[in-house]
Amino acid sequence: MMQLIIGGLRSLWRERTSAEIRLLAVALVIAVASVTAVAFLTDRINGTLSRQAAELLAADLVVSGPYPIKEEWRQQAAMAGLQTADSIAFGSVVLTEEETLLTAVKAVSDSYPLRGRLRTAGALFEGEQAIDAIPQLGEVWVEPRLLRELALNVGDELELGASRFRIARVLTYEPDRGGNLIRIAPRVLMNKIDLPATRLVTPASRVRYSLLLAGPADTVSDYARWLSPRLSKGFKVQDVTDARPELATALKRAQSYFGLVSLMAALLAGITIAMATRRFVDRRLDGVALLRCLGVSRRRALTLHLSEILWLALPAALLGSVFGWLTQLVLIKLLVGQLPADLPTPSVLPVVQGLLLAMFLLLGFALPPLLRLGKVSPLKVLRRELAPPALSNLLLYVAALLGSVALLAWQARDAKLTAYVAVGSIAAVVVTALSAWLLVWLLGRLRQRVGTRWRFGFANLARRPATTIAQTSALGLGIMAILLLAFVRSDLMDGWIRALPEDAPNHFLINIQPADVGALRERLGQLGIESAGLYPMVRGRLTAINGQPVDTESYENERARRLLSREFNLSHTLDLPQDNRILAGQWLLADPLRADQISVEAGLAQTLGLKLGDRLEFTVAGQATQAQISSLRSVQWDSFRPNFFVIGPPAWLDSMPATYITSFHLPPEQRGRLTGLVRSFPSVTILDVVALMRQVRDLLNQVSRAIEFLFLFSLISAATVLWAAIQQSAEQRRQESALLRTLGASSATLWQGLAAEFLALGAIAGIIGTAGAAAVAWSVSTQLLELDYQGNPWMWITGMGLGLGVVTLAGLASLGRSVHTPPAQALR
Amino acid sequence: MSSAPPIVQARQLHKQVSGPEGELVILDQVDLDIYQGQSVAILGASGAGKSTLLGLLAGLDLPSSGSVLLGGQTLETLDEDGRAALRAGRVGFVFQSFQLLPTLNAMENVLLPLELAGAGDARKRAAALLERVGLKERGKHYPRQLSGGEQQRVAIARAFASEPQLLFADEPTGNLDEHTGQRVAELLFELNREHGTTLVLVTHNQHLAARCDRRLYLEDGCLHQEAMA
Repeated sequence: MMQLIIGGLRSLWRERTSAEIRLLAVALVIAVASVTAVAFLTDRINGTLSRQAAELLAADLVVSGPYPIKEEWRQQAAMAGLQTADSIAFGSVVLTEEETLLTAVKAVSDSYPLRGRLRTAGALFEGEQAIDAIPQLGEVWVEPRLLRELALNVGDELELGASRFRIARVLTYEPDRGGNLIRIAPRVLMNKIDLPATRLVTPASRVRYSLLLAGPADTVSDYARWLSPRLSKGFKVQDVTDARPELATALKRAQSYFGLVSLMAALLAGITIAMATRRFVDRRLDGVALLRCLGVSRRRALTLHLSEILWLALPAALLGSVFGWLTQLVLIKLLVGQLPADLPTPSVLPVVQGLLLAMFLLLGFALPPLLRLGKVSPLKVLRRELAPPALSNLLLYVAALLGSVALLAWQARDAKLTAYVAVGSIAAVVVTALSAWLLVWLLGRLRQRVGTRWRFGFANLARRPATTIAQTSALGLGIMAILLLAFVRSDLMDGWIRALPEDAPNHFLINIQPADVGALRERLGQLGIESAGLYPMVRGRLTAINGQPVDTESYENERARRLLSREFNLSHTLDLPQDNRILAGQWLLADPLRADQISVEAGLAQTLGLKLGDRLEFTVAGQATQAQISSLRSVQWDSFRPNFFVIGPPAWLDSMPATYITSFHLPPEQRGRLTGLVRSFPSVTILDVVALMRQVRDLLNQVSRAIEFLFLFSLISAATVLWAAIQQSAEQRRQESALLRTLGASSATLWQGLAAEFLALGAIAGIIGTAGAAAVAWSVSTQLLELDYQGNPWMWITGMGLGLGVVTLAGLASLGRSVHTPPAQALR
Repeated sequence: MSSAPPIVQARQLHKQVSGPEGELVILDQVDLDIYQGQSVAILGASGAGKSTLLGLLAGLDLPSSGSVLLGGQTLETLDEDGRAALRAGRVGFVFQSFQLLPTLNAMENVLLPLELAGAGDARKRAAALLERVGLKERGKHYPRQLSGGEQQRVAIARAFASEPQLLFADEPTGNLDEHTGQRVAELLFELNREHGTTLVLVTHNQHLAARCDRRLYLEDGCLHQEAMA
């Protein structure tokens, strides 16, 4: 056995320059590079996560909810001897002389954080240090982004609600920063004692109160057990072991998407490996027949060649890992700001994964064609045409499919996601392959009507339909992925922003206190701002339907579960809001005196299975209130007017705590007018919708640039599929060139024939890729976003350019030499 | 001997190649004239250099020294494309291994030389020739769907398609069984007669050679002329 393994290594070394070994190596390196790039990134992020596991909550246990922490809970903690700290978090606008910015404010007590340490810097771009303190009275610490966006420095002042604060330090790290992958507003950290003076927190504000607890593990779990039955609705308890922190969840999800993208390159590499191995086998049939003649068993012959191929995994994995490491550096650069800043150096695990991947690809995709070598008859030395039957294509496809699904499962580590991606990919491959088949068929028809050169090129494609379809599908999918990311995403986002009417509201005012409503309305009038109306907003949880308590778990629909697990925004008015339409039943005014009737948004009713006449019970600030559905409404959510799932008459919610909400249009250049408004009404929060949308778009851009970069591997991988296919036919093409020369064809004719073939191939790939991207864009924009789809001519230019460019260059570069085959070869 | 100039004229043709054991002389000072309408068989043992001579006469390869005139044109002064242009429409080939393009069907294979020469009624002529070789119904078949004999008949149709003045045939029956070989040879000579084509035939089949006007023997790089038929 050892002898065979060494023999395999020796054969590999001797054949290291042969075309198919090189091709196998390139395919493996690309696959390993693509997958290890993501593995390195994941490894580093996970390193941070496990290091931070204890810190992620800044405590051992956190109780949080929308209302102030009950005194009873504190007393119990104190009795148990647990350390406690408070944190109160909410969104608010900070003001400077000219600018406003939405920020995430967190007011903390002295002992915060109980686990982990804050890190701060004395000024922007200065080195950070861990610090065991919180901001002093009258001071705040802010994240660097706030300083950049408001052009402030440490030492400057800012307004927060009714108070002014001095920026004392730059906050670079807080242990419980949570889902910063999607947190848009920068953090402002302040002392809890300063909070009341800002007048930012009122009973109805959207605030998250947290009680942080730390102590011996037993005491903590005893406390958790004690607390659990006493928790009010809306409160939750998180501990380090069972609560998956938002950051970890978001990153895990991002990692598995990145992983799946990186896998596309590996799967395409699998195709290349299968094709290259087929050629490897073809070229070794005679040699194996001779070995068999000389008395070597089938098994030994097969093992020798298998070990030769498997040896390739080692150098390929090492080289691939080097590229993967470099790629990961680029990915981190592209995702700067979205990832934890201080990633540890990765372990060697990704290299091991790379090696396993290389072995897996070789066993999954090279072994099936290689098995043919075990069937060579020694009689072949006498009768050369006696080749063993090629493996049935079906078997090859099934093997490749199983291999691919196994790889998917390994990367996604989630059965459901694997199933979705597998079914989606198979559907995409089937659709692409069918389109490719159709185009190849059309080409076959076309060749009757074109001249020799074109016909020669077209005939080459039409006569190898399976290869042509594989090549064009692989390239087409690669092109489609890049176009979707590069064009469609930003086109859709821009389209959505553009589709808003010029005068659509672009600012929301929320957290308006009832006492301020009159004054605010007057103030808006003075400023000449026409608002979409001031609506009361009451937060309530749906607790029973027709007398049956709501059991969230009994809903299959994920949206239904999500909706039921949080509070709804309820409102009261007798005027049907401007963009609402009654679909069923009668609007509240039909019976204005009846207090217990409500109008429900039709989509919500459908999701929760509600119908006219159903009685709903809501719990608002601990009080239950019932009402009957008297109408179903359609709501135009993207009108950017205040809209509500549930509206009742004023008599229904009159006594409940409410804040008011309104929205209005203000041209961006007049934003300065809001500064005074915020000063007069410190508790009011301004949301700049367009700015938020732009921020979301920027985040998407950043992430998709990283994904685009990963897709480059797929494109390179698709190019190797092309290379493998060309290589398979290279010998035959040389022979054909020689023959054509013999028959009097000039080299220009041969070049044109080749160019015709590759232009057609590239055009098919380009058409498939671009049409696919356009179809996805069209369906997303018209079906999902209900926007008019406007084609982007640049997408077609890029798609066709990519197809034609990559294919023509690859084809001509690898086959150019065949044009110069001496015609005398035709005689041999 | 005809008074017209020879269609193929070789003078002092010398070809040697480098091998592991030094220079190997394949053709040594060969002189040869072939006249319009003649059929000439070149005989010789395997490895005697028959195919090399054929390649040189057709301008597929260049001699180490000496010269070849094809239709009065000196081949050595032309580059590869020039020689290809000279062959186009004027020279036909029949090969031992048929050499049909596998990606083209029978009809398209026959069309190929016509289109390369820019012939006007290519399709009509190709169809007529396919009919002449008895494969009218097989025009849409690809080479792999045809038997060896049928493939060679397509190759013969292709060779005559551009009505060449000169036809080079390299062991045209070498890959066929005896019976099929005879029928293919029959067809080749019939068409040769009908078209008045000059035929240069390389073979080691004495029966085939016997049907030619002249027979030349290649031995030790030298050409020995047998008496004219």
